Amino acid sequence: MSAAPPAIKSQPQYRGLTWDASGQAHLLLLAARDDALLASLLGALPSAPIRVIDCADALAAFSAPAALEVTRAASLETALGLLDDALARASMGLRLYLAGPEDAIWQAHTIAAAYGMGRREIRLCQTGSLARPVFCVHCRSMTRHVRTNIVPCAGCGRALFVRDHFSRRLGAYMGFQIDAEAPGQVPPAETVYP
Amino acid sequence: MNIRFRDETFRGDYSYRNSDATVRRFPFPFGLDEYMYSVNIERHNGGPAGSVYEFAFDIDEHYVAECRDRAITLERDPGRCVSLPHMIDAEWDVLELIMTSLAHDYPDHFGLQCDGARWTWTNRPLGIEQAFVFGDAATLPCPPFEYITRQTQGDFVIMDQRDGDLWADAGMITSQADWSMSFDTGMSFKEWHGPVPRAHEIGVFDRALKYLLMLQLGQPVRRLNWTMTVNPRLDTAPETYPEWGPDRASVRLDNVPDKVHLRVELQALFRLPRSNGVLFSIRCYLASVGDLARYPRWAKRLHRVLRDLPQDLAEYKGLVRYRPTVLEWLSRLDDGAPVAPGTHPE
Repeated sequence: MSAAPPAIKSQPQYRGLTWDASGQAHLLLLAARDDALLASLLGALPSAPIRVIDCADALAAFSAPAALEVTRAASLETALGLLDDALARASMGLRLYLAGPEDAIWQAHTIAAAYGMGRREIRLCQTGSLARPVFCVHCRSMTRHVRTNIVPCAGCGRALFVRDHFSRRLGAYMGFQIDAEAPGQVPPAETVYP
Repeated sequence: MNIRFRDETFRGDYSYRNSDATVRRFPFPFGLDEYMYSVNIERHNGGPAGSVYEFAFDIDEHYVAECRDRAITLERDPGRCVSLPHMIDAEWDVLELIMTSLAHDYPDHFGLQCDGARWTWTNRPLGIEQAFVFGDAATLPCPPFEYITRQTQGDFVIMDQRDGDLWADAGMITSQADWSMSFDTGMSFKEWHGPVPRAHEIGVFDRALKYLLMLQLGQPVRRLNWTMTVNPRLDTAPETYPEWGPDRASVRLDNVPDKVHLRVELQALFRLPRSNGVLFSIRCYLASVGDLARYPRWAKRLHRVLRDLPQDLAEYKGLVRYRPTVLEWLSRLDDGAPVAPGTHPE
């Protein structure tokens, strides 16, 4: 996959997911259905144990190989709880793979970071919706599943412009009040993250 | 050297003013008639007596008022000072560097006595006398980095060096040109500078990072950066943009000289001894267009730089709304005659 480099360097660039052969165990979180991605992953399975947490019925079209330990979760929240439990019991050498919309994969990333997992141990793949999590720099609330370039803040209600500047620690893009210089002059929002 | 500290404000009635001597030593950043990003780094181991480059941390007539303004900002938003847990060694490094520098460079105003780990810090302008044990945070009223940067002009970021990168893992940021420490905490060098236009494409951050990773103890470096601010306001953070954003729409031809300020950052970088981190100090200087226009060289040069500044840089610096008005005011002072290279006022 090749895409134009982002205008703002903090914006994550995702490539397709592949297994990391150096992993001694693998944990895959699926938060969106992407048959092509799964076909490529299942077609090149590594030998080390693989655990899958699936909250998007992503494996529906596949008969998962017996080597995979698959847990289906009814919601992202449940899946994140399962991920937390799994990481609490994990040992060194685990590789984590996160596939889904940015809201899901970066919430999972935050959990993994709290267990000390570094950038080299986690692979992320944006798939499904392009919707963004947005952090309001004024009131510090998170507005999730944002599909438009301008969105009302879930916390303070200000009309936020969604900037491409991304924080891995917060797992979100920056939002700031678009009409701060001329209050009331809010351009119409456009759907840009379908 | 005895500095007379001004009683003034950076908000509300904006009573901030520069004395004639302070205007004269203003770090005017434009040595040529046009501006573009570059790795304009030079050694920061002293400069001409009385200049802003003379000492590691410049203290001037605005010191007390700036510390007061920082306290107000922190009271309203404690999140402006952040430090990730692994930064505690670097915090002590910074406290030591600032205390020893200020006590050495401004003995009339600051003092430091060290008896092993038992230190006594004296800050006369702020009326502070503090005995503490170096390395024992419980003996200070707040964590060491916050403690000392509450008493120093300028913003500070401590970058942790690991994996061939510099990470913005601590910061005291209350006088910034529209960037958010609470959002940027933990970012890599290039992520943190992500929003800056053009500079990435011309390789500025690649080269700067390579250079800074090799920065040596005792050999600090510096550069200047600049933007403009309407009203002499230190707190132009994204967090408070709804408060100061409307000011940008208040510029008129008659208020340009008093209202519009050139904002120059003297940025210095110091390797830290125990943590191997890098301290990044961002010392902000504000001068009104009217102050600067007293020197014809500066008036002409500022006019030409602003006039020819590419639109994307003007947008990034937030100048678009009032640039035409400032240009109209400055154009009357520019006869088009050549101005010899250099940043000096006369």
